[in-house]
Amino acid sequence: MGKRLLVATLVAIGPLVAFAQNLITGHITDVRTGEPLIGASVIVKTDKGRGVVTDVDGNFKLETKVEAPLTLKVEYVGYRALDVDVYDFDEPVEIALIDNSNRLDEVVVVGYGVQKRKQLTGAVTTVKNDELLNTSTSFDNILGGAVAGLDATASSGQPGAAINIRIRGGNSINAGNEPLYVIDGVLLYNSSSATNAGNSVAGTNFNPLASINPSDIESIEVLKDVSASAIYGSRGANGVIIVTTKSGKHGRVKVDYGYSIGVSSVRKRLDVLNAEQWGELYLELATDAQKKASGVTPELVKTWGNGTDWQDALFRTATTQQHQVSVSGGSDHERFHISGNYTNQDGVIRGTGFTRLGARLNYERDILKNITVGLKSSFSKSTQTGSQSFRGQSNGVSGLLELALRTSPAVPIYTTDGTYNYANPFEAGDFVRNGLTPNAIADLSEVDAQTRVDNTLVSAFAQWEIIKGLKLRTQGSVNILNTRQNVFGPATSQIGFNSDGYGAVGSKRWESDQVEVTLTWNKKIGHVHEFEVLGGYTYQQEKSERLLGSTADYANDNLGYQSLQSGSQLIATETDFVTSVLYSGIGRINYSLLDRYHLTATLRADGSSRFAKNKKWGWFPSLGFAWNVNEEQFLKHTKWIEDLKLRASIGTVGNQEIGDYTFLSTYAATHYFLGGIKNIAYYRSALGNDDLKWETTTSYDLGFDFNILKGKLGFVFDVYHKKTSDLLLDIPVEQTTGFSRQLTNVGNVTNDGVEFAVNATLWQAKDLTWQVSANIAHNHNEVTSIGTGQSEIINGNQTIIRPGEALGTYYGWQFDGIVQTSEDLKSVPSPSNKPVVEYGDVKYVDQNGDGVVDQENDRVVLGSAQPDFTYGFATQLRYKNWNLSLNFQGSYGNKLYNQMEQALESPNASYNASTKLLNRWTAENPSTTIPRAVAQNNYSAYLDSRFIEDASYLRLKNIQIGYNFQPQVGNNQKLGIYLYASAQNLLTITSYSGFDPEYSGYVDRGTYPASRTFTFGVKLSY
Amino acid sequence: MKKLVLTIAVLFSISNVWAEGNGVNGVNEVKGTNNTTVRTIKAPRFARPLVEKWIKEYAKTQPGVEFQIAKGQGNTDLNVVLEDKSFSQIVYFGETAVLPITARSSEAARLLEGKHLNNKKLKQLYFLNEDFDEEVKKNKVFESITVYSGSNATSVASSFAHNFGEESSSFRGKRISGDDLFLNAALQKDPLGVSFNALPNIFDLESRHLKSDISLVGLDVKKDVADSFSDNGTLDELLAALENGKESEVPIEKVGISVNTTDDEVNKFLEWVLAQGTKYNHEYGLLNLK
Amino acid sequence: MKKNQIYHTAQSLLAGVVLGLSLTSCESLDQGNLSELAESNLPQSDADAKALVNAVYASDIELATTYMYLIDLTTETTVSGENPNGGGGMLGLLSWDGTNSYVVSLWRAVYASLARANDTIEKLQTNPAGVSPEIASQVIGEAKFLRAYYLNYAVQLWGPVPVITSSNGGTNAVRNSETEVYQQIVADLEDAAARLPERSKQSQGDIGRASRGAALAALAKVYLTWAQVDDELTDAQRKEYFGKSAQYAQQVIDSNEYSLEENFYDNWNNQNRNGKESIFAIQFYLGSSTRDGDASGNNHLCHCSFSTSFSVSLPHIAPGPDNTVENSYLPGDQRKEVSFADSLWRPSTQNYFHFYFDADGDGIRESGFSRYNKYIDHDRVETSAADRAMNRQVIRLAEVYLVLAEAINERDGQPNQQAYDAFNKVRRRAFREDIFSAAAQSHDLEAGLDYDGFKSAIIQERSWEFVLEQKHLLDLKRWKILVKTIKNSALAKNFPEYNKQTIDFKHYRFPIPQAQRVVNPNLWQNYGYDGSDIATNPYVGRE
Repeated sequence: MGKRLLVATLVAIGPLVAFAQNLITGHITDVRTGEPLIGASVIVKTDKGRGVVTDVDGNFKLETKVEAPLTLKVEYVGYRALDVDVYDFDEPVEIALIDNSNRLDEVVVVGYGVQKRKQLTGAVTTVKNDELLNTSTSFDNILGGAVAGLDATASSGQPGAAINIRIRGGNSINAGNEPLYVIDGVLLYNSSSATNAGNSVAGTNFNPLASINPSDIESIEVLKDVSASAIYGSRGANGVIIVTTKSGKHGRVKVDYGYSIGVSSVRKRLDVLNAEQWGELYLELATDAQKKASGVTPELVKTWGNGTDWQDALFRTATTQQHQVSVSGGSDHERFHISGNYTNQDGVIRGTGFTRLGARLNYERDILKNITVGLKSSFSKSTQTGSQSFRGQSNGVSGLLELALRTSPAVPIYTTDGTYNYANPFEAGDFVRNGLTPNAIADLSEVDAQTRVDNTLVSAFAQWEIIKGLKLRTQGSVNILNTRQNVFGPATSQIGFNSDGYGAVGSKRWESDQVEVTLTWNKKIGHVHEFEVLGGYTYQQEKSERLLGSTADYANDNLGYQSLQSGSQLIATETDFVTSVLYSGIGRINYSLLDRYHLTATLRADGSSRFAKNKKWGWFPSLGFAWNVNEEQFLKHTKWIEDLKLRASIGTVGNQEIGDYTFLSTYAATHYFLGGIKNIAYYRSALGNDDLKWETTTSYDLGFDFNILKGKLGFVFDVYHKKTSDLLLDIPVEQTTGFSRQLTNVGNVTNDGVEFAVNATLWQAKDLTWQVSANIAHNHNEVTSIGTGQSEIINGNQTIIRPGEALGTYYGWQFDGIVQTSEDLKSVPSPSNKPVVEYGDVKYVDQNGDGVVDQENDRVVLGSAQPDFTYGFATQLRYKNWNLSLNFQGSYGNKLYNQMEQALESPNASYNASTKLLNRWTAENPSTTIPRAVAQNNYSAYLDSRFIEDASYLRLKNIQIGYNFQPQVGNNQKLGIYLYASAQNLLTITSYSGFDPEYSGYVDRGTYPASRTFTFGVKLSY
Repeated sequence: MKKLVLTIAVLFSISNVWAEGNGVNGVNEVKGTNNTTVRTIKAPRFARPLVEKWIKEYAKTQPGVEFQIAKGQGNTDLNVVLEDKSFSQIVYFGETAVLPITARSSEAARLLEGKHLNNKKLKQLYFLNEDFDEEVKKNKVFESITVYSGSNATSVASSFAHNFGEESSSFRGKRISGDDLFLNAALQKDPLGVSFNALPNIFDLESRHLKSDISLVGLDVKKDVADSFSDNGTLDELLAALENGKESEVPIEKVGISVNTTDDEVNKFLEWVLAQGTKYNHEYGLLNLK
Repeated sequence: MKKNQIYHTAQSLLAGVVLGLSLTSCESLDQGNLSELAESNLPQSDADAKALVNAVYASDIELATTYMYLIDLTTETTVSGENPNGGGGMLGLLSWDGTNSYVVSLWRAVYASLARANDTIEKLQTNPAGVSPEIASQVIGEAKFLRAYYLNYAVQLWGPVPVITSSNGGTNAVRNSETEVYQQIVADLEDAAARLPERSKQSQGDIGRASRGAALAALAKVYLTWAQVDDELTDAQRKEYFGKSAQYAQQVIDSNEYSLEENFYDNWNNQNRNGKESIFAIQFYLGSSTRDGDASGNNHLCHCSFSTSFSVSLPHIAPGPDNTVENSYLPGDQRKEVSFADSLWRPSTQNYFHFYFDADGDGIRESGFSRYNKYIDHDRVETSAADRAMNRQVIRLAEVYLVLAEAINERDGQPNQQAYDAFNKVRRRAFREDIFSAAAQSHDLEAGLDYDGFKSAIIQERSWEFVLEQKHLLDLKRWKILVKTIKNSALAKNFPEYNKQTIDFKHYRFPIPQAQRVVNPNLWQNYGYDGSDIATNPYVGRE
């Protein structure tokens, strides 16, 4: 009887005891956003090993024999762990975790690994701006104004053109000044030479980084000081930018689709004379012979009216479309991110454009418990059309843009029957050949210029955690750029008109292979010592093969470059094969004492084939210290200080971007006629230099990061001194050696600067968050020595390299007003470009008072292109579903030589001029700024202070308004929709009179102008 | 033979548990005794005595409909919830007050004995202290005490936190999962524990006195009502004091019924509750709607 | 089952890729430039050897203008039509200094050529495999001839100059004395004469290379000049060198490798390149320019003398408006029409175009600017200035005759019959008389002249024979009459705007390039130029 009773009770209480198996269910979310946390681990504290992970909706089910109340431990990466005592199994366990927005535990990507921000000894800035990342066509113009001390200026407005980035001023004169890009571990140097097939007529300004799709980017880290960049040794001198692409997250498959359409137009036009105004100027300037030839009379000029607006025909409103789709997701042991993108961007100058079709496949997989393998690969096919430059004699005109601007308004673009007009009676010099003159607008559509680049980047890694804390990582990567540069100029185009048509096909295959093996060992001894030791070896080789074939003199030209053989004048075919190799050994120790005092010691040994026999290997040490002051006793309990970290770093890095074989003495070919026949001849072309090595930059950095109010307000401050020595300079040598210059390591440049950045969360509530960030940097750049061989180097009559002055210092005559009738002509110093002085001429300051203004001793420094300080500020406002973000960038105190304005203010009988000449000096209207109209054409060799303009500017780089909402779709699935409208370069405040003050070179002459773009887009994520 | 029976029993019970655990989603259609339509109502423990009273009283007037207190998880027709803006249809019937408590004669009670904590002190005791403006010196006593707070949706923890301008995520100490009543159990297990609870959970509704194992934490209240806030005060004195004067230290939250399935049975019941049901508020430790 | 298969293939693929990449072949650090020959792999064949010395000839392609500007334009015979502020303009106005572009570029070109010659000689002296001994010896001979050729210009223009004989020498060079320079020149030429074949033995493809005759002729001229200019020589040495000069000149004549062109014009006739009278000339054909993108011959003598084509405006260089030399020819002298042209037949308009300077456009010629005619290609007159494709004559047989005559006169202090015979060969050819007839010809030099009479006849004859052949300044300097001649010239007296009257003793030598003195302070500066520490005029015995 008893037994039966026993069985019955067992049955009755079964549901409760059920072999004492208790079922706990629960749901884990992020306390701030309420989003489910996928993959959070939940374990029963007292029942070792019984752990489970939340599913894609953040739910979990756990069975345990332990009786209530039991304690659950909930953990998730980046969130504060939480213990929960569970008393009642009927109720689902609701747990909300706080993400440790406490920035210090945040992990930062650094060279060859990651590091806690708290322990970081280097100056590293993270750029994380989701809205901006999804909307801009190319990732490198996101950096403008976002990072203190980083200037990002477009080299030209040409779609797909390269962008120049300087971190803390330029170090070098002859070697490269661009930072090193590390994209998913692959080292890339952003120079357009990798895609330059030598076809100089087809324009060489393709941006190899344009093939990276911004919406694939997870994070961008900018390593500014030497403690952070030393691990890259001879490639880290100009700073390092690390780009990590998304690799998918554990959880449900997420699909994103983005579409945007943009309308852009040229930001500003230059004011040039209309036909009648130009006619009057022509009558004043032309000689009788020219007037007789062109048949222009005062009566005829009266009938011209406005004439043709060539500039209007040059520019157009251009549209840009962009599609982007990505699928990512993963389970607990594999993660994938697949994306595709298509961009079709038209240029604001007719006939120019850029298209890119790209795909990316990122895949990571955990095999067994401690091995992870991964593949990060991207493929893209880009085409840049319409980039062309002049060939042969250019008659003092810099390119099609300038020709269009300056062709006389009295000349029509089309003839009466609608075909292009190639007769320009005013054209002279090299641009006339049996009555035919080139027509800029015609060239933009008739010349077929195209640069196509296929970019394949595949990098695979395997990471094996041998024992706890000891990780071995091997990575191999291949990056292949296949470039085609084709151009064909028909006999009517400037390119072809001197040789009855010109066609050229250039092809280049550039491959960079890279292998890395690193071993990392972390060890923590109690709470006192923490080590991370990294050792490794990397090998990188770059191989490029180039071929250029070109012919001229085409009987008929409708086949274009597709059939070079139909050109009867053969031009020598060129090929060159270049290989460069880099072996490196790297070592780094990160040591933390009491989690408050941190030390980073880095050493890298680089051996490069680019350097001479006995200088191939170099050592690059660096030391960095950091001290978390806020964890000291006296500050521990001041609650409002969240983090105060002092940083200091010292070290040396190198710059090996000096081109290949520059140290070798090689033989070049020339020729001499013997017996009436052309014979080949060889001569030693370069004086080898057995001691040629890289430039070394030693830098010292002192800074602090200061965050208060729970991370609501943060300051970053840095002061640095950078000295680049062994500067590569082409110094004069004794010509009795048979050579006149030799590339030697001899000069020094210093950069001293201060950087200050602040970011604040002015308001943080459930519905409204308002964040503001601002940065400002001052950098003093100075050439301290250029060796003993010479006192200064003058580059192309424009800039001078002189110890004591900055790089990019302008050197020319000082403007001193206009010769007025009241002055005695004898007392006016006569300039060497126009010895006979007349009333209304330009006066220049005669520095040495010898009565003559000449190039040798009357030129002075006229200011430099280096800004006094650069600044940027941005703000993001998020109210309920709306968000508004504004990004400003500006620079102050930099000058720019506006040679375009100089061309427009130097009239002659062939070309148009600026409207400023309307109030030029005449006897009746004695202007003091605009000289008398005098026909001259070799003005560009004589620079003066009138054209060195102040190019300070403040620009609203990007303003964006977006609305996002999550309508319910299917059974409790949410579809995220984000609608946005944005404008780039909407507003620019500057006094610069040229197209655009934001320019990376020193001479602004006819570069492709920047444009203002309005974009509307939608982003769907499911 | 025995083994056979035993295994059958075990199998039966596991399947049973399994069935229950993974309740079929959707309305918990449980058949009533004499197959009248049944509506389920879920309520946190502090409101359960009042709801049971309602069911009993309502059953007299409306025999055709049977209301039952729902067990375990799954959706129910009606839910007794605290004030929550995101729920649209809530019928409020009363308010509940929440008082800080410790286990009687526990170490924590001894430490807090005789103290009258004002808002600032309470905030310092219960919450991760990040207020930057006041010069707050470390309080050794508070540091040693562990705070227990509920983490379920129906817990009074959020209203307690909001009263002091905090979020429920910034409570010090440990969370418990389960009904607030278990907070009392947690206090029994940890001598240095301190927590808070709705009045029906800390008073013995029959004796109208504080539960024997619970003691109130001294609050900085007006002199005249001080003793109704002491351990020997009665529930009714306390309810009267709270209804007459507003004490900032005491969080008071509206309590209502959120309706998931609307039909005339439910509507009639709700009308009854508002008309008749609220009479029992005081009796079952709840305040009347102001 | 299917799912696992995918996993396994994915795993193996990934592992394969990672391993494959880590095993890519590792290149060595020593990467040679595959597109340009390196030091080590040259010369490996006869063609390579010839190619090396070809480069020494090639560097002279750029220097046609430089020699003409420095040696012709700076004398009383020639003026410049270029921009007065440019390097050429300054030379014409005798106001050059250490930064003059032509002085600077010649110094660089001379030493670049020496380096190429030294490199060639060193490589071939090791008789490398693949190069036949005869070719090696010939190429060494050519290289030594050219080394002497460039040093000969340098010492006559700057005086003491560094002598560099090794391919990686030349650092902190010192200015060797004139004696040392001439010793090196003579040694090179004698070794070249021994190695080089006679012109008749040269293959068709080698025409234009230096020959034995060229070396001997150069030796004759060098010994004559050396004896005249080197103040450190004793009279005995001077006498010995005049003797050697005459002896070498006679050797060239006796070799019968060369003879005088009956028609003087044929020396500058493109149909008669490297004619019988031409001993050594720099070859200019269409395409011989070494500037990239320049398809012309680049002999700028053609461009500068006819740069303004059929128009009245002054070309880059032109005979002085005084026309002294043009009017000084005896009637019937064929050299006048070949050397000067005051009008030319214009094929495109089928008429004669008269070059005259008509300032006020009234059609009357105030003063005439003829054109130098030798370097106008009469077969393609319209494009002559653009094509620039005519050989530049360096040594002609006529000069060997005059050197022989002068050397004998200098050696013996008076002319003998051998000197007269040599002189009269040149004179008879000019008047189209029978060069070799024993009987006296009407235009023969009057007999019985003493040393001074014969010398002034030599001076007059050379000014008629060698118009615009880059010899006049060097002749005035070795005759020590530079300042006297130019100061008293008609151009200096009647046309002061050409500044010839400012000729001074400092002009006996050109300045060392200023920039080179900064890099190498050993190069002290010649007298009269800024930076020189020589206070008084060192050119003793010169007028």
